Amino acid sequence: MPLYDDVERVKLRFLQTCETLVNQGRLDDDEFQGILELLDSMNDYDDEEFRAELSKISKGISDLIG
Amino acid sequence: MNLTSPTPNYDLPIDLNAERQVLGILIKHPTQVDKIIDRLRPTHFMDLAHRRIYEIILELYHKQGRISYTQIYNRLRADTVTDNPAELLIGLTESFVSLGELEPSIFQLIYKEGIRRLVKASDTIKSMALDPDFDDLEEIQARAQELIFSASQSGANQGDDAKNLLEVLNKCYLNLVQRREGLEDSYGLSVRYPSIDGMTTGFKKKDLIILAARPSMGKTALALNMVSNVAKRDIPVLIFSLEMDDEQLGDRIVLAELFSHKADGEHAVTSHEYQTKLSDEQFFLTQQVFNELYHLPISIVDKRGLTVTEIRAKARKFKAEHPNLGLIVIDYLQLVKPPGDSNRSWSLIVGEMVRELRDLAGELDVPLILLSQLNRGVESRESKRPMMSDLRDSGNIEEFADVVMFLYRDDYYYPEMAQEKGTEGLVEIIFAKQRKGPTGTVKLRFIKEYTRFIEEYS
Repeated sequence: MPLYDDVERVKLRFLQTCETLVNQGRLDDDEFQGILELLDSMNDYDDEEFRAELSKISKGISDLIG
Repeated sequence: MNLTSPTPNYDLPIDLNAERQVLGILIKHPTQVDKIIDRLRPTHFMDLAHRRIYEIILELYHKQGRISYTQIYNRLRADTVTDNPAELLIGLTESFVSLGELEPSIFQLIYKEGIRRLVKASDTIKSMALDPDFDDLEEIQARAQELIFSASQSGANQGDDAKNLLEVLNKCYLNLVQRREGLEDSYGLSVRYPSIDGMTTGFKKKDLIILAARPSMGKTALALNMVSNVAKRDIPVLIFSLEMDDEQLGDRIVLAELFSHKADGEHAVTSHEYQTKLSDEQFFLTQQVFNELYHLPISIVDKRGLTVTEIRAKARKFKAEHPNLGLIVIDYLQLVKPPGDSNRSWSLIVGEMVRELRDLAGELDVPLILLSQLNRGVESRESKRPMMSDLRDSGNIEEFADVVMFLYRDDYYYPEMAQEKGTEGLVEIIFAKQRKGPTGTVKLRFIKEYTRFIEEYS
């Protein structure tokens, strides 16, 4: 399952980036937790739904990956 | 790139790659947790971050059955074991190729941890041995054995796996066939007194048997008679004698054997003659008895003031040297030295010692006969026959015992009446408790002069 590993690595890199934004004060902790939970249940959404959910949590992050 | 936190600063065997592989596989295949949980403890992981991740995996699996890198990431954020959880976890995703790597990695972790435990135990033994405050060689030896034994118990829950019914019934069936075929000791350890064996169907392995009576009732004599009967079938027996020395026990064993040698219907050698001076014929006969006894596999530890720890260490050593050890006898409980640093009540201390001795019987897979005195309450009662409550002041001994046997003799309390009734020398063996058998009373005759018990009908 190399795809699984690739996806997990991407998620972790994404969280690492979000963590940096938290440290810079550009993302608050609630937003970070929301993003983390969304990534954890990512398989339940298609691309559009995921982007919509992410946008609800943080418009800035959603725009960043958009 | 440093993927892991610093390892503890001592030179011990470690396999970081195996640690990473196990964790990576568990995150990807959570159902494998069930297969390894009884074999791996967190301490199998030497790297502290790996250890923490393993703990998190177990927590998550038990809570929700699902494990993900993101959840572990979230938990690690709150910890101080790593300042870069993402790099650490990405390292795990890159650490293995297939599920087939799990078993070899587990083997490595168990092996390395076993070696680490041995190294640590030997370090502790060395410090203890070189510490001038420890000046009792036997105490140091006993503690060293404990440490090595403890270090040798590897695995998280080794030995207590659930057994399926097929496995259990297979053993029961084997026993059933052996009993049907009348094979030696298929019931338990026979002590060759039919009345006792009839009650117990033989003493069972792992059982703690309490043999209790007031002083001079014949506890030691009966125990030694049973020991000789067992050893005559080439079954090793270990005796801890905390009261009598080895020569006293040896003389008793010889005397008990001399009882059955007769000349012209009389005893060939009386107890008095044995202890004073023998004729040439008597000496020749006694030599023959010695020759018969020399080969018996009986070993005696006759040191006073032994603690349970010391008894355990000596018994384990003996079992290692004699794997077919068949019986342990301890004479007697009230002379076992309690731990010195305890502020607990006497009753609790004795209870703890008895529990530890029962555990020893289980560990070594042998019956253990523990002799015990009874409290004086017996003397103040009208009926002098011992009851369970006579043990009760001594730490609920009966609670831990599988078998409780009391000895009672009429002639001990009422010699004249016993003479009139013909019960002189008659001993009641009262089975007050048997976890695996009936309670009741059987009778033996005690030939006090020879410290020998015989069946009443013989």
